[in-house]
Amino acid sequence: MGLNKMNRTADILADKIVSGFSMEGTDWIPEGATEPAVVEETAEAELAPDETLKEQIFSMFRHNKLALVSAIIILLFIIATIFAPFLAPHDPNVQDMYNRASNPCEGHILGTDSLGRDVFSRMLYGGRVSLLVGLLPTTISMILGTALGLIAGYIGGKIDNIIMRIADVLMAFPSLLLAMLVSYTLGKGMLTIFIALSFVGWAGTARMVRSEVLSLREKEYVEAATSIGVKRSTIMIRHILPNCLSTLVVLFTMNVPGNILTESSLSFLGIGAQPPSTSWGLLVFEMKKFLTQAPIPTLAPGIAILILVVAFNFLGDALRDQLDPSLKD
Amino acid sequence: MSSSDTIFQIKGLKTQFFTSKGIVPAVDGVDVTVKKGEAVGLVGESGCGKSMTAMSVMQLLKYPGRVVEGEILLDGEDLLKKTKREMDDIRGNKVSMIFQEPMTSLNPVYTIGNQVSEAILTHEKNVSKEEAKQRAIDIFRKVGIPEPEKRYSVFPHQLSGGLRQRVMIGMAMVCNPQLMIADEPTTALDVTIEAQILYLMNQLQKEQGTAIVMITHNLGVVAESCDYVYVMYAGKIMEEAPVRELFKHPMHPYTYGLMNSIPKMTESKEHLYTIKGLVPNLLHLPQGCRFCPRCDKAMKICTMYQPDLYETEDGHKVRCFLYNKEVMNSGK
Amino acid sequence: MGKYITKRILISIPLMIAVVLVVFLMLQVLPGNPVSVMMGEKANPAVIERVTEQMGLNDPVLVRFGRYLIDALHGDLGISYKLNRPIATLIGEAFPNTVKLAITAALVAWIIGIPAGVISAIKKDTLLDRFLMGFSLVGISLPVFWAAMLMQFIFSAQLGLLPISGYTTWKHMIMPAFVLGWASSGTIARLTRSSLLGIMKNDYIRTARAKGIKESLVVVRHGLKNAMIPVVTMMAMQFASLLSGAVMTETVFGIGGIGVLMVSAVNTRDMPLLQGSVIFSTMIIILGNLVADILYSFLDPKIREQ
Repeated sequence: MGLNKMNRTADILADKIVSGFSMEGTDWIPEGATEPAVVEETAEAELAPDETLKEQIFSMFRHNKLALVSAIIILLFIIATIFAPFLAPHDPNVQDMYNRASNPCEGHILGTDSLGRDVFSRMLYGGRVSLLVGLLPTTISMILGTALGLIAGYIGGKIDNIIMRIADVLMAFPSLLLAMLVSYTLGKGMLTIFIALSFVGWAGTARMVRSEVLSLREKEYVEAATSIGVKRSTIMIRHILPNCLSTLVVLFTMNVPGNILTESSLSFLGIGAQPPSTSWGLLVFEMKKFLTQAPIPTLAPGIAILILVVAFNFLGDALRDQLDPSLKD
Repeated sequence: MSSSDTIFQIKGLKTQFFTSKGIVPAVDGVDVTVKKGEAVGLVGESGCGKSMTAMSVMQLLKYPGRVVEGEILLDGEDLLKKTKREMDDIRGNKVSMIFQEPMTSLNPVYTIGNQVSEAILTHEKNVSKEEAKQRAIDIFRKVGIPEPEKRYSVFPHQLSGGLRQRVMIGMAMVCNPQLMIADEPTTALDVTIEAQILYLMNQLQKEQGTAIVMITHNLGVVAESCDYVYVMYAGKIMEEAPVRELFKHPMHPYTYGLMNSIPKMTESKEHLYTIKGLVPNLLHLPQGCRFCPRCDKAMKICTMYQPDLYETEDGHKVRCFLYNKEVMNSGK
Repeated sequence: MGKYITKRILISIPLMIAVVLVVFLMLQVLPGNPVSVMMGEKANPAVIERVTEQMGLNDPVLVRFGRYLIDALHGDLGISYKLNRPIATLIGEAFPNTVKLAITAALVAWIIGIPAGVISAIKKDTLLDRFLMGFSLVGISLPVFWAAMLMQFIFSAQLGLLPISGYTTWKHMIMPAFVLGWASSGTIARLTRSSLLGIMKNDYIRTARAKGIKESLVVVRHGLKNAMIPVVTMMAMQFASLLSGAVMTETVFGIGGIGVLMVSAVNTRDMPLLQGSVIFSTMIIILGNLVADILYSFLDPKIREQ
């Protein structure tokens, strides 16, 4: 649906607007005040002890309860799926033909699916797929995007042009469509989704990193490093990459929910996870026919998706506000 | 002073910002008097509260800033007692303001003509759009915008900084205000343009009888355009005097320092005089005189008590113990 | 401005060709002869060979690509393997349904999104702001297929108010439009809010206040008019995205649009149909972004008056 990509574009647009404006006052000088010297002084004083990324994130969790709750929820999901074998009340593959597509009953807190399997247990296992797809392809695509963005931005010229034109083409596709194309070529299944999301999603990251590099390249310390003959690759890794880090953290948190949603959509269409393995999207797909008969086991996996995605989005918002102050409202 | 020709008066104004780190007294008991058609300068370094004084007058202070005490009298009426609606009628009509940044002070999506006639249409309900347009063109001509008819339908980004500031002045003058506050109107402009803009403002002041409060950090601007000067430091008025008096005879060590830190063509000193230290943090003000930590004439009493404004013979008022006879006679 | 628009158009043409090429290559690298897929297992190998030759499938890839491109420009996207009908016709039948859904969903998104964003910005940091932004965030986090089923369960199965699926009457469009509209409104609301908040920090807002304009008019006349520039651009892009086919919504509600066409092409392994419909979809998105760019240049006087 491209909604998440759209949302990212919205954020970039917002970024553009906000960063175009004059410097906002520090905490006591109202907008009306036009006393730049003091603004700068105070701003400097506040930034003076350079906060590390870790410290900034910790301070965010201290002040932003919503972010903390979101992080805890994500952590709980991760723990629950890792320890699924211990937490699951039933074997997720054991069928109970006399108790098919039933609403919650004794022994099955979320009911059973079309083959009489315990939905809660299947959700614990299925969550592994959703989380893995959320985290792994996002990581791969962001490493790829960071590398290509660094190269494009720092080397420039023809290579920059080629990389960015490829990125343009990839960005023209909604991720769901591209995944469908890949699945046609490579066949249905999780591997397809991994490949599609890993090798397609880098374009946005590359674009972001490239623009970051272009602005960092002009900074004094990079110029200084260049002037004393430090190698290009060293400059990129030592000087430029660390400065992109906070942007990357924000971007990562914002990309994860998009990929989780894409995976669940594809699985719901029957293109993603294939039985007997499972995922939340597939669980809903398999129970589609039983919506009226057994709404709880049918809809429960969707609630899990929603909660996880909302948690990631809240965390992403909080991180953006904390790490990218130019976006702060 | 408060004779019948006084048009505008600030009495004991205190404006504070209620921040999480404490209360910041940005303006701390400021008195200013402006006579009809007079140009008054308010001079000080960045952060001394001069802009905050202006924003308090306009009542455009932003959260967490608030006027906590004082009176702001325009033609005898206290603006601080006006309702929001009444203030809307006064702003841009009886009191107008121009700002430091001509490049960003005009709305990019409206033509300059539209923005000036908007001021007229806001305050004068019985004026037609056509009349407003005509008046906008007239004021453009008056503020020296070439080809005013053509420029009426031009967007801000198509004009230079100097022309935009002329538009701002036109917008401020179009309703014939009794008072115009100019907050660093020339700081962002080239020196040659600066002189033109100051000349224009003085001309309008004389023609229309508008009183002007000129806020600036630049003593040159004050010398060129004002009749009377207030020197402000850390939220307080440090010295006030007619402009010639002040330049001839600066009394407060701060004023003295300010003047000596301007390079002069006639002297060839090795080093330019600088006032040592920094503007104090308004959250942690010294107990005594606010300028004391930077003052090279500081006495023991200065670290303990805050001086009042002392009147001297030649029309100065100075907030410094050096001019308090009792203190000086008692031998520190 | 003419220059700007020309430049934009010139940039999109190679992009469109590249997109078609990518789709084409991705579907052509498949091993196996599409003719045998089309004719089934039992077909005579000699016949398959002859048909393959006739269809020009033995030519080099780039020759075939050129031929496809030229045909496509003439409105010929080939024939569906499984349905045996021209793909252009199939798309022509499906598209109106997608358009219907896109328009209703966009209306819902705008009617919810813009006021929510404006109110949030004005009431920044209040409970109302938090609520509206929470609602928007849930909107963009929504698994659309799940929300669609939830609504089906509540409004059709339980309450019996609305038809569960189909697309013949306006009543059918209510649930799909709302689900899709809610999901899209989140983006609009968030952008409107941050855009307006950013604009309200500008010096010219202070100028407007100093002019004595009422605060409500300051927001509407001087704030919103500027703040809407990126929002309108986003609305255009989003509308294009909706027009390119709402795969999930169409699937759940059984609306025979472009999205359903693509899904069925994947499921029945109908290569030309998938190729045609995906290319059609992406073209709409690229054109939509182009329109958004042009719209932007109309709204921003800095570009318009060049």
